[in-house]
Amino acid sequence: MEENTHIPENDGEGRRDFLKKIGIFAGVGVAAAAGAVYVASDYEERKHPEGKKVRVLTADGQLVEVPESELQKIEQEELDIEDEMQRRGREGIPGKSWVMVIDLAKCRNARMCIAACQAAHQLRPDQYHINTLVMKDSEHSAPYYMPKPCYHCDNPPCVKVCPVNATFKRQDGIVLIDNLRCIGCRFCVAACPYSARIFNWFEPRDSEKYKDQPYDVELNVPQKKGTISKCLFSADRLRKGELPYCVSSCPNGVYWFGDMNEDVVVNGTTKEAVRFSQLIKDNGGYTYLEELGTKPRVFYLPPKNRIFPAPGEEQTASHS
Amino acid sequence: MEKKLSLEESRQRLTQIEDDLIRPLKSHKGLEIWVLFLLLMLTLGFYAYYLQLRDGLGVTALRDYVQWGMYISNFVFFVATSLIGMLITSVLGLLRIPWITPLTRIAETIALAFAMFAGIVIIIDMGRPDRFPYLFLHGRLQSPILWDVTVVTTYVIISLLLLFIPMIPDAAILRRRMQNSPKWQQAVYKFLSANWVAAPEQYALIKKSIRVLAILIIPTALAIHTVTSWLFASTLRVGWDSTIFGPYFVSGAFVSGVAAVIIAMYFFRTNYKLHNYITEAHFNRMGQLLVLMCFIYLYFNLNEYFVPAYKMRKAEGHHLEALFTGNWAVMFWATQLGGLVIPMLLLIFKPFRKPLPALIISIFVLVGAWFKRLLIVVPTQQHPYLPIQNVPQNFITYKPTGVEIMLTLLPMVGVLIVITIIAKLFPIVPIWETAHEQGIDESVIK
Amino acid sequence: MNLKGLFTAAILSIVFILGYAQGTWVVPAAEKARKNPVASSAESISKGKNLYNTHCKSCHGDPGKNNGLPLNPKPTDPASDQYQKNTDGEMFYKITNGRGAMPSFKATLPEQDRWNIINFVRSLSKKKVADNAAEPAGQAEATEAPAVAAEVTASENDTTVATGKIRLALGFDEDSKTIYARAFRIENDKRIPTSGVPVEIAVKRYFRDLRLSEAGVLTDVNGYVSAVFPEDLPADTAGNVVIIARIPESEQEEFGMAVTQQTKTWGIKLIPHNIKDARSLWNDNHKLPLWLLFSYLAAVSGALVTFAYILSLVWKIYKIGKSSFQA
Repeated sequence: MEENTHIPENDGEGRRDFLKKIGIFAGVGVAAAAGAVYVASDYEERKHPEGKKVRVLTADGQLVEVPESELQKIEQEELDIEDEMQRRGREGIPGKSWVMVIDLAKCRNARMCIAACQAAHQLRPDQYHINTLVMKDSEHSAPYYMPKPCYHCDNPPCVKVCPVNATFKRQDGIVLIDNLRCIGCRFCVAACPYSARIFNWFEPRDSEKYKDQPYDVELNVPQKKGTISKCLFSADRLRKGELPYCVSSCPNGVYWFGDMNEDVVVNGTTKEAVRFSQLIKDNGGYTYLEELGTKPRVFYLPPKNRIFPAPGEEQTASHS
Repeated sequence: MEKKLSLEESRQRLTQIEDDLIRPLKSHKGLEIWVLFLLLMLTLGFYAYYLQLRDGLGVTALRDYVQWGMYISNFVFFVATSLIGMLITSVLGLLRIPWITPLTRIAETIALAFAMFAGIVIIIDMGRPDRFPYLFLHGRLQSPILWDVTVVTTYVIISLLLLFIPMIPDAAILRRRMQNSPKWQQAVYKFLSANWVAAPEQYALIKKSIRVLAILIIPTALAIHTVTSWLFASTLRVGWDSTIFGPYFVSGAFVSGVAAVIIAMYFFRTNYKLHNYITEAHFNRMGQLLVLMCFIYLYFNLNEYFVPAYKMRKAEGHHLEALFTGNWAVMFWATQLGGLVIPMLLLIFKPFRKPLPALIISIFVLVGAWFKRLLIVVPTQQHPYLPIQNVPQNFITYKPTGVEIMLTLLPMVGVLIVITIIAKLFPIVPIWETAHEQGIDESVIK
Repeated sequence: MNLKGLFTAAILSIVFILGYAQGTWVVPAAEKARKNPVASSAESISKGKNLYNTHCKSCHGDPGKNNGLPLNPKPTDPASDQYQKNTDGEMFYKITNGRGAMPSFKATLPEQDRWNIINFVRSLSKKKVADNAAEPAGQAEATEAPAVAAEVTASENDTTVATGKIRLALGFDEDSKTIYARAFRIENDKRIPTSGVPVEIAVKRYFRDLRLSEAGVLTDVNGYVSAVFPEDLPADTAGNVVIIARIPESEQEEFGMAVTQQTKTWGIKLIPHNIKDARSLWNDNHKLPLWLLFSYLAAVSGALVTFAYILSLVWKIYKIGKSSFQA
């Protein structure tokens, strides 16, 4: 593929990336469009047997050859893909009600969740969709690690204040950001009591590399300068039946994720499925600062019966 | 009011008033240097904005925690200062306080200029100013920003009307007196004079319009600053989550507005030689008004800081400690004492209400008012509920950059330009109202 | 700042632990000599295997494949000779107390479970576990299920997919909402119930299916595994739930793949509810609360009407002037 892929523009890297994306985001419309390209290429082949060919990956994973002249068509499709991703991204997955449970007893600050998240969302190292904090609630209480994603509140203060519907809540509970809409007023950042939101103060990481990639609202990539970003519960993965990036990359079984309507959450490390209500009931699950009335969708299990030493205690533990 | 003058006396005195008030419009001494200075500042500001557009808002010191800084403080300051139009023209006007007559146009000019540029300040703060039209295409009425855009626009329109409707008779006079001025200027006077013939019916209509607008501006002005306070109070953030933010902001607005008017009064009085129109008595009265406003604002400050400080709730405690004794303490106490308490105490004594002392005190009050907005906006964001961790140090501290300072000054330069233009085209003290006050027959004023 | 100090300490100590020399892990003599009180049985091994997969596998990897996480010290492969040299007591001590990145399971796993894991780890060295499992496991008790036996037989033809010798069938007791799964082999066209087969009964869910049967349970002498359907389990809007019986993935290497499923209307019907239907302050722009819409429109139209009125007054001034000029 590498040798034969000859794309006349100088941004071949981004283009190829984008073509891969077509394969990944297989939507009905996209499949149909790709089919059209296939037919068209077939026709073009007969018309100009000598024409230069480019290999393209279609939505259904087929590698087809398209004449160079057809690439213009793909540019148009890029817009269609974006439209389709916007439509379903804003609608959400019907009948679902996503929920996350974070077991504070299991976190030992491995930060693999952060790494996986930053890689998926094209973030700089100081940009966090999820951040692990060292918490100490009061003078005599024990410190603990607290992974903090966006809580996807059911009474979201950030969505309330958005002036242009750029951040919105979907029927499945996820609070998303549309960075094609965001005007960068940052009222949502001010409104969030959990400091969950970040802003692209500069040109985002690798923006040159990704500039031709169609914008996926469920992944919020490519990131755009002057707009907001934050945790999205990996809405793109959920659509494919996969657990979020952070959840599945945790080595310590900290995260549970699932659908409240099914009353089941799955552990990202062990893949064990349990009843959500039972897990919360048995372990005294709670939401953070629930007195603010934000109704978070992320629950915490208290750091009881820890399997790792508390922050600041590792040294003593390893001496014994 | 003085006894009725004869027609001849009326004419003579009117001519005297006209001469005094129109003279500054004809002399341009020192104007070139002033305009040059403004244009230089404007160019620097535009260059700074170009840098910000090119590289992103990262050219400022704003980062993910302190993400509203000088721009938003500036916005609050602008909206606050513009509120003076409502206080002078409307509240005092409707109460028929006689001494405000020569000050109304100064107040309305300040109101209009600051309100106009408040909108510009917001655009400077936006990450994607190119998407400003989305506010109208995709506007969410649930967001206080939409309310703010609505009331600021309304306030600008009312301020425009309140500036230009009382100017109709003056425009007629200018049309008569400024016949040597350029064509476009004469066209402006002609348009604004609206066929003024000083007919009693016309007077009745003007007075009616002013009265209606004076009533409409009260809820609008209250709304503009209350909604601005809600940009903060509608969040769940320590230091902003307050029920008295509306009146707290409004009372603070009057403090900075009165101070701005006193400064403008002093400037126009000395530069335009208006000692007979803007008298020491006016400074005395405005000084008294400033004492009253400072006192009301101080009362709200007491409520805003003392009540939570008495309880010292966890997160609020961190915030208040930073203000009272922490890294914001110097600015906090300098602003509260030097910009509010000491000016108020000094102005209680009559000698301090003379023009020069009043000017100096007002400058302290106005500068203090600007820093007070910064103290409301920034420290809160350094004290979120969850600890700030794993981010570079410059995400936590806030040290404004040069570009940011230039872009904070840019709208101020804009305000000065607008005030300069208005004060060069129109008499800054209303002619007909002054004449009327001196007992000149209305029918001659045309 | 206090928290910052803590955080630095945490980072430092993690570095310290990671750099911890891979020295020998000395276990007190008394602990070393401790005997395993849980007899090694198919059931105990199966339970241990389950526990291993849940709690140990993420670091120690698949036994025998030496694919644990690249930590320092490297988590030992439990099937390795090096690890098998440990006495039961040593293993128990290490699981119980942990060291460095290896957590302590004192609080999270009951003693019984820790011994089950040791039984499983020991079974790894013996290999040929599949052969053992084929033998009837004497200690497994027969489930009292004659009433449903016929039903199980009747539903044998359903969607069983199997790659090995073991096949599965599902049967249901509607009154008690009990699910029976039966494992059998076909020899000479006859179905022979098979005991000692790890079978799990689960209900289909979006990411992973929810297991209803006990963890690591094996079929009894009659080839049965049973589970009770939880009464409060939500289903789709029609109350349908898909019940699945299968050999767990971790056991498929030994027993082959076998899975069968059926739909029952046993679940709580999901009442469709879209949170975005109601008007609210957080909903989209066209879903704003009516009171807000009307207040806004009233205020704005009030201002507009006033402006129009003012302009009409100015227009009158203009008209009066015009007529007086003409006069």
